Amino acid sequence: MLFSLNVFGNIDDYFLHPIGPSASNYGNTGILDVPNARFMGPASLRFGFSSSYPFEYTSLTATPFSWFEATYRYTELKNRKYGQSFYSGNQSLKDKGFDVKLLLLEEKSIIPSIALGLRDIAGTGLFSSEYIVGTKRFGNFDVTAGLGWGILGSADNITNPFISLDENFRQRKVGFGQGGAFSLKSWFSGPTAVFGGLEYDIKKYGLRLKLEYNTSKPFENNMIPTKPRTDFNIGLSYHLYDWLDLGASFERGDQFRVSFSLIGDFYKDTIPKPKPKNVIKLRKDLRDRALEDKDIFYKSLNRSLRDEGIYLQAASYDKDKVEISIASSRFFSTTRPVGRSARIVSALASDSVEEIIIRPMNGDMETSKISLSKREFDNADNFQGSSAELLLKSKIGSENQAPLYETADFKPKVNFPEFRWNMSPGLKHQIGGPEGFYLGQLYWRTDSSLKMARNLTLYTSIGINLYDTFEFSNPSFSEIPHVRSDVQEYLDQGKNNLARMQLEYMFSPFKDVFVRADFGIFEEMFGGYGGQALYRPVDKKYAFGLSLHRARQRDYDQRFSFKDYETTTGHLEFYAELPNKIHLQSYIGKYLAGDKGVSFDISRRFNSGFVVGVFASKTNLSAVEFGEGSFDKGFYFSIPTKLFYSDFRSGVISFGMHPLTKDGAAFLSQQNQLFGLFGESNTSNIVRDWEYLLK
Amino acid sequence: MKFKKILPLIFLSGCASLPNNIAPGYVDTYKTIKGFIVGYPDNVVSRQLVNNIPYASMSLKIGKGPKGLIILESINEEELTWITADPIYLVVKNGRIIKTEGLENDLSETIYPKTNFKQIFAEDIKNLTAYYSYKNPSLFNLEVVLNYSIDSPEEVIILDETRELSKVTEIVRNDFLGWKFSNFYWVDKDFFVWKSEQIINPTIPVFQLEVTKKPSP
Repeated sequence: MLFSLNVFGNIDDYFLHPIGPSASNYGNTGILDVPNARFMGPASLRFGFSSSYPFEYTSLTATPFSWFEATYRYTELKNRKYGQSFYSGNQSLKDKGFDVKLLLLEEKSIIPSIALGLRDIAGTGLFSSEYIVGTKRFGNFDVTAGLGWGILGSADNITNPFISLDENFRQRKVGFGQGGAFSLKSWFSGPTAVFGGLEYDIKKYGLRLKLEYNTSKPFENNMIPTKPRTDFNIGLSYHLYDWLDLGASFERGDQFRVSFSLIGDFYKDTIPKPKPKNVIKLRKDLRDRALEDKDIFYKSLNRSLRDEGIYLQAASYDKDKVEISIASSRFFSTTRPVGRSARIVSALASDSVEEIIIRPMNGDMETSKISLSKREFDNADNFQGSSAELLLKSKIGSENQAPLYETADFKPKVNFPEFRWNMSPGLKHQIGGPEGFYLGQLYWRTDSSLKMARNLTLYTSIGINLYDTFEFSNPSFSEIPHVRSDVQEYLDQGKNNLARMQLEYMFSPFKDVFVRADFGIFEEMFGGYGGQALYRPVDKKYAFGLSLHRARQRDYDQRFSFKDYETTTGHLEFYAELPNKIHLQSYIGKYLAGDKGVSFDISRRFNSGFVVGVFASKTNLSAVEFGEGSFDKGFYFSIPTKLFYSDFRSGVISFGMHPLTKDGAAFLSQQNQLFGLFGESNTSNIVRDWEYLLK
Repeated sequence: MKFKKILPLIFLSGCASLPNNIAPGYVDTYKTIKGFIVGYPDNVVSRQLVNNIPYASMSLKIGKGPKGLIILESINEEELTWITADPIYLVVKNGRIIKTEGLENDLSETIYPKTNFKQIFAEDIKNLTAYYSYKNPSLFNLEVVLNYSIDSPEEVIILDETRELSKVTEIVRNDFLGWKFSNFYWVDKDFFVWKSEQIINPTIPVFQLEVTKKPSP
């Protein structure tokens, strides 16, 4: 059937199985074994699995930018043993790898999309490749051609063009070391090959057919046992849902491969959330009466705010001004409860009120102070003005050193001590060790908090073992203090443990300065005393911090006893918001093992709240002292739980990959990090989330 | 365009059986997955509730979401605008949804040569060509072919009343997109649509409608 000629718009979105960029065998976006120049959308994650003989890949790919893709991967080499049988039994070899791909040129009408990629960097180098690839769409065809080096260049079907620049590009320095270091000198050097591929979409059925010319020759370094019968691979992927791709292929003329990918797009919160509850504006005479008898106002306000999951902490009602402090764990952004509170205040307050001041709180600390013109707010709320106009006429500041609950007219009574608890099952695991790929423990975790006064709280966390598969035989041989590398002893002997028992006191001695003092058992491996201070000027895009602790190592059974090792650890901290929603955290100081150095953490936060970041540390330890990995590094992402629900949620699902548990560059684990509590409530973040004020 | 976008359109019902401080994250996840697979419990729609509302009303269930009541907001000739509590607007003509407002992926306009089932079956029309337009993402005048058939009357219970209704099947096709789906309308002898299962776009779940209080003529 033809469809009418005046069909416009994104018709591809209306196919029952819309086809998106699909994963290569390695997990990054590509054809089968060879990459292409396609990328997932920004804020996307893809978990991939593809299995054949002898390589099986399990991968995680993230796109922090539309022009950048990073993949972390475990490769199982089924034809190789992890080590000698007394060491690792029958376990096959697992190889960790990290890939990046950058978009150099966006596709235009006659220009293909061009990308540059590095495969298996900072790993053992078994699969190391570099490539420059171009992809161009012609109707339902996607045509790819590229130049590959390393494994991708092993077909050696063209002269390396970089030799004309420098003779050093002629030879590739090959060394499958302990991994972790970037082998810059070998990049783009040695044998070079032209690879290519063709993809054809049958959109109606969600199918993508794939054909590629594969220039990888892994048999040359005995990674596969036999020479391929053909260099051409064929396959298809079926885009069953926008979150699930299935794939199958026939490779090297003798092997089948099956694969699947789970895809998450976290760019926007696509699930509508409940609108503000309907607040009926009181009649003028009732509102005026409430100004005379303020108890009526405070009680009505308290009740209406509770309906929204907002808790009134203090309030002062004057003829021309209402000032309140609020706390809520329901919402992800600061501005949403502020806007909902302002609506309720406006509906209850007298016409003489001109200003509504709202001070959001986190725990017992005020984070900021937002002053709204009541008239401008009402106009914007009634679609007679915009939120941008409201922002222009609002003031954002802070007075956290003098919280409203100390001076307000209305202070809800809080009874101390206040005891809270929650319990749930939890998992601990070791992935990729020689004893087994996955060793894990299912345990029952009980967390409690006993608040004795405002800002003074005792936190306790207890774990009870339910089931475990721990069977360790790989003790640490680290030559520096075993501050983290004895993790196997901690997991094995501390199956039933006291994970935390920490007394914490927070206060704000000056405007924009927050201080936290700690005493007790901080984490599974260390206890002691110390604290953290943060200076976060509300109107600036940076903050400074200092943390300092005297920490002593706990015994492996994680009860109340300690080992002999004791140290002072601390860091100067610097936080900054950079352009393009990039956030930088940097630390300089002394780590748990006594090594000194710097750490960097760079992340990107999307408006949906999705965060993806990388971190790395370099200390005064040599690569040999540090051991496998050469230096500390990893990546993480966090997904706000609200993206999965039709109601608000303030929590996040976090996933961090710290490939190796090493003693070097080890931080003390601190709960309630001050920047995490107060960093998000400065002016620029409030402005970023201002659109939620009226939603 | 996504299933998850449309699930929460009507209020979700709580089904907590554990205290809030026991495994809250797991309970939340369980409830969401259960809702996704099994569906959400319906809100109670009783005859008494319907009678107490002074407006014409229909029950609406979208996919596996909970069933809720929607009320008639306005009438413009043959076009009836119904509103949910969210609010989402459904414009219905001769029992057929011809426009929506408030969904993530609205049906912005439809062009039908005929919508009246009485006329369709009186004239023995087997095939019609219609045009659908959508918002977010925009798509204008997508041509679809409609094919009709009608079954013998059967007894259908709506709320607590039994009616003799005939099931009209409307097969909707667009070969380019590979769309082929069926809408069902249960009509009385005057071809008034009392009940229907309508797909406004096969990438989002089915709308199930039942008239609980008929609009005054």
